[in-house]
Amino acid sequence: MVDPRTSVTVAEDGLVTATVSDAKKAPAPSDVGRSQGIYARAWAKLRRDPVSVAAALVLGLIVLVTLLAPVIADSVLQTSPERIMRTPNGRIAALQPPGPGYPLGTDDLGRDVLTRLLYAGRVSLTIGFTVALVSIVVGTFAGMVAGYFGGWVDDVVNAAVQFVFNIPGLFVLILLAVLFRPDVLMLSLIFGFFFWPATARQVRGVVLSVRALDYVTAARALGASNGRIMLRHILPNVANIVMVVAGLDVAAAILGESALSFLGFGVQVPQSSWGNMLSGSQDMFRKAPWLVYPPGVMIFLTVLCVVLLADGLRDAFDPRV
Amino acid sequence: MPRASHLLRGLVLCVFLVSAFGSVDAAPTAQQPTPRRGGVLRSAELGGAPRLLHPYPEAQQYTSPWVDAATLMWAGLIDLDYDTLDYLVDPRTSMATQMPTISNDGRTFTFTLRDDIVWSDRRPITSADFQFAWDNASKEENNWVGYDSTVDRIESFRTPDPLTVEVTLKEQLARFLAIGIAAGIGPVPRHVWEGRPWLDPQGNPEVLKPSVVSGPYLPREISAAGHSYTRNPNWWGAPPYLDEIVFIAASPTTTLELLRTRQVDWAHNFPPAQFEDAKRIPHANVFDWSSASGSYRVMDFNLARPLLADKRVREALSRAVDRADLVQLEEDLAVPQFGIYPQASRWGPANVEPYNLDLARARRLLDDAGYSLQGGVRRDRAGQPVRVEIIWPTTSQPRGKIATYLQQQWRELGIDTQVTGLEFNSFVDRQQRQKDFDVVMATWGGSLDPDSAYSIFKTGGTQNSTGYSNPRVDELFDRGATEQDDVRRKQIYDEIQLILLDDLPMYPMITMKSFTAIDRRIGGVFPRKGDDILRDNNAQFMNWFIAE
Amino acid sequence: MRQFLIRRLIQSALLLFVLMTFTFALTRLTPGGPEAVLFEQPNMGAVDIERLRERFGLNDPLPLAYWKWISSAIRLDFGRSYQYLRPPLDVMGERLWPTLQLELVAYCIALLGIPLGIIAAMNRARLPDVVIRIFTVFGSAVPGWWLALVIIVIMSATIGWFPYGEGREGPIDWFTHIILPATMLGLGGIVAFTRFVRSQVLEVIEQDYVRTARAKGLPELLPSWPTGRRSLIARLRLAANLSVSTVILRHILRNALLPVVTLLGGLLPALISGAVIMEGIFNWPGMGRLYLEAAGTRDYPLLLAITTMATLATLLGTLFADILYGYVDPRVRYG
Repeated sequence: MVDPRTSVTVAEDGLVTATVSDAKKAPAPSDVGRSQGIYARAWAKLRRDPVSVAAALVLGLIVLVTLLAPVIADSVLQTSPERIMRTPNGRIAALQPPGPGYPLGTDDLGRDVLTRLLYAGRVSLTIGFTVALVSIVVGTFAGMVAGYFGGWVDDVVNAAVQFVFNIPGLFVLILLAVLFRPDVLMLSLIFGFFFWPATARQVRGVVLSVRALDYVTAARALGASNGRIMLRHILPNVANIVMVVAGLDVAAAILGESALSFLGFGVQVPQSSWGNMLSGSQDMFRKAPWLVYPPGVMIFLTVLCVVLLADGLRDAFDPRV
Repeated sequence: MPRASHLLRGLVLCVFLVSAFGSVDAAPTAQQPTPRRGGVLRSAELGGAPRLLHPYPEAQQYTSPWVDAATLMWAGLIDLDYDTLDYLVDPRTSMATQMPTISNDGRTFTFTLRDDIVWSDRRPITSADFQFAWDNASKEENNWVGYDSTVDRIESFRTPDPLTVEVTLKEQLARFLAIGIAAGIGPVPRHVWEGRPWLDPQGNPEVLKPSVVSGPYLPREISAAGHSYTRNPNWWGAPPYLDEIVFIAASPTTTLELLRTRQVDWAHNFPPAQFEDAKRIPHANVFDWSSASGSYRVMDFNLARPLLADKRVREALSRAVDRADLVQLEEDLAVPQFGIYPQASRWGPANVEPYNLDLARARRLLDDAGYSLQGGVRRDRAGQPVRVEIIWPTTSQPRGKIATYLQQQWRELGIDTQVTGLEFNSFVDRQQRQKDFDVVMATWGGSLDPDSAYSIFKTGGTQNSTGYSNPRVDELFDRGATEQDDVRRKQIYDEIQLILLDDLPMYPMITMKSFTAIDRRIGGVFPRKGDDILRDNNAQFMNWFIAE
Repeated sequence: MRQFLIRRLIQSALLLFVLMTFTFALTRLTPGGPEAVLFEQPNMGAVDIERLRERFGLNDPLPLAYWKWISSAIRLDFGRSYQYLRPPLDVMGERLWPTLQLELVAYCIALLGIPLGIIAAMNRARLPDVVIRIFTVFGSAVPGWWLALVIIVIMSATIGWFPYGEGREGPIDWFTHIILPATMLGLGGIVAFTRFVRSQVLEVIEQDYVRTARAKGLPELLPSWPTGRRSLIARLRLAANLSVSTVILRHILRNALLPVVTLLGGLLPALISGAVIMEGIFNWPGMGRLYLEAAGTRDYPLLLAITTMATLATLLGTLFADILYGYVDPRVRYG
């Protein structure tokens, strides 16, 4: 049909952009033995790229810190994300600028911003990774069976892909957020629902090119089952493109969650996410900038690292460079 | 939508009551520059633009921007004075010559129209225009939002001669309430509207944008970006100074920025968090005041739930709240609220039990009620932990803040609280239809007459989400609606408040203050006891002028 | 080609039908409905709620309600909006022109990504490439709406002005008012174009036949970005060497047309979905805000009309793009 490399998605601001994964050609497919070599080579290349290494380190640090948020909050900061702090004269310590006792200041309910930022990171990262997980699990499965079996299976998957692609994404997203309680799981599922077709398309393209290879035909002639072939020969080749797509999905999910919060949907207080911390502070630019910039910087930094890492992975797997 | 869930002035204060300059319009500042005619007032506000400017809209179109528009476009028989909080006739803006004569049985109100009032196209306004309006607005299928509060209480509407309007109510009601209802029907230009469909903008372009009005301003443009009004050249009343008034729809971030950068002259409403910041704008006058028809925040308990059926539990939950904290959370733009009527209103102050903060007492009450603290968690007799769910509408972030505060306070009592934010329509559904909640964050108020609270507290009232039922309160509301003597009327509503605060089906928390910011170059601006300086301010907007 | 068209049209019609049903079902599954607004009025009776539900057909059994809606929706009759009392298409039509302007200007800005991508690729690993890549990576990492708000506050604080709403007084006013929202909107597009074109050009440069062309001595488009102290004129002259039709140029542009076409196909649905967020921030009276209000007030006729037309636009846009692919990329053949 259409060039499988290009896929149209609806960005969070409604503009339909070509999320063209620059994974132009799939890396040269190979059997399992040689695919080990590809991974080793890619890993070596990745390690030598300073940008990717830096991105991976920063991302790892962010993930680590947010994972350890409860520990950090309890022992290091001795606060909790929900505790309303008070000033000596008994009033709520609302909107205090960064200072002793609160490294990043307090929010409008007198809660410590740094602690909330860390806990919010857990929510946002959970959403990001869950969405990517849903997208690659469903998308890989769909793309693999569609590409491998062809025929009516391909038609069914294709119809499903077309269905989701042609849903006016933002509208239905809003509608779903309105109708269903916007908790983390629901949001992740809803986002994942919109992300999996792009993955499926990419995977299908790879599978199509791999399927026709000699060694696959040989394996089939030798009587290997379909499942075994898919698992041992095709999946490894698919994995690298899936990694890149997963990275882009994480980035898109985190950005999308913030946009949804801005519109008033998405994760609701008292649960905090970077998205709703950012949108909840939009009228505080002058009054309390410590509420505005930290979540924005965190989102930016996280997405930046993920995107750079995904770029690096793609380049690492590129056989020509 | 700001203040989505409050009673928008109960339509007793129908927008047809454009208030006068007032008998004495004393400007409070020492020196005011000389007013001069002309100029454009640009305003930025949250809340969007009106969908249409029909004088008798359905509930879907009855929004805050619509009320702004109607204040400028339609005149009223009589006016409401926000200083005395009573009706009066002002020769400069009221269509009636004097206050209505009342029949002996107190049910029929007769208004005499002025003979010099004209529509904006110079045709005289006569009682036939009133009759035409009534004939259409009183039809159920026309879905007028004021049907229940006005039409349903009127027995007959007659116009025996071109200058007389005679309204008979179904029963004798308290004077303030009755006059509001009787004067609640305003005229519609029959010569323009006759023969055209009443509610169809396609068949009747007047529905979208009236071309003939009775008030000081004509609509110029209405679109998604905002709406604008220009001086009515044939306005029969005292002329306003401003030539044009423009309303621009804005967002929370930009409303005040527009004033700051002088792209508008008036930030009509903006987020309370920016209030301190507004005061730092050198060229702006910033006002805040308590209005007599202000809205107040209240938490309603679901009396059908076993936990909350026990008053001791309700009191305990209430005593964990410090109103001073809530005032602070509302950026100090609120005052504590103790009864069911705002303190600044005539009906507000009453000697009710305030249920002030007292955590120790709250804990004792819970113990007495059978919920004991075991390992930091309150458990009932069966050992089940006590759980409370608070629901709030996501369109109102302040309510979410209060709910979060409650969650923390009740944690001190050992109660595990879940705070659930719901989209507005789902919220209303769970609050009113399903009654599926433990505690709901509500906002009530907005009316000058105390009767409108009956739908919240009477047995089976349509806005009675708590399930409260007290025959004495029902009886008192019925009596209050008909009581002729003002002193006794106040006593009736005092007793209602006492009973309610004794039974505690809900806990009133804080009343919001009104506030706004306007450029100093606009002269003649000062707030009264109304909710909004445009529409609840004795038509003061006619006194506003550009002072350069 | 004709067979392809017919097949696609049938598929699109089926898809549209399924999607319309899907969104209709979504609205009916919801708790709460447009009657919520009635609860704000005192003295309202339960009978009023019933009357409203009857009037809007909300008490009809699902199949009946669905049939009523779909049979008229097919003819593009979506009933009357609850808020506006007008046919939804009328209300949408009023918002179309502002959204169209915004989208077109944003698209033009996005097209700037093509020369950016070319420059980046031709100067791989040198300064222009690094700068451009930094720009694209940053541009894809920042939440667009937040960037817009930050810029507004900065502009307001520094130059005491920021573009708000449409500019009505003349072309310059129009331009100053549209440029910021359009740029914010087109940011995603520029980034996507730049990245894609860059990778395309890089790929082309490596191709064998290019090496052959070089071996044969044919000039490239831009041997390298002029370094040193060449004058601006000289650079422009070099850049204007486009008249030299080389294999590279043709191939680059042909491949660069792919995202152009894809985005063009995406333009039509974008018109309907209208940059929901950007319109809200910049007070642009377009379709995006309309949808938000409709969702917020459960204005079902308007909601369903917008989603149906958006779906239709997406289908048409994709079809249009696919047809264009057929002309642009000779490898794609439709049987």
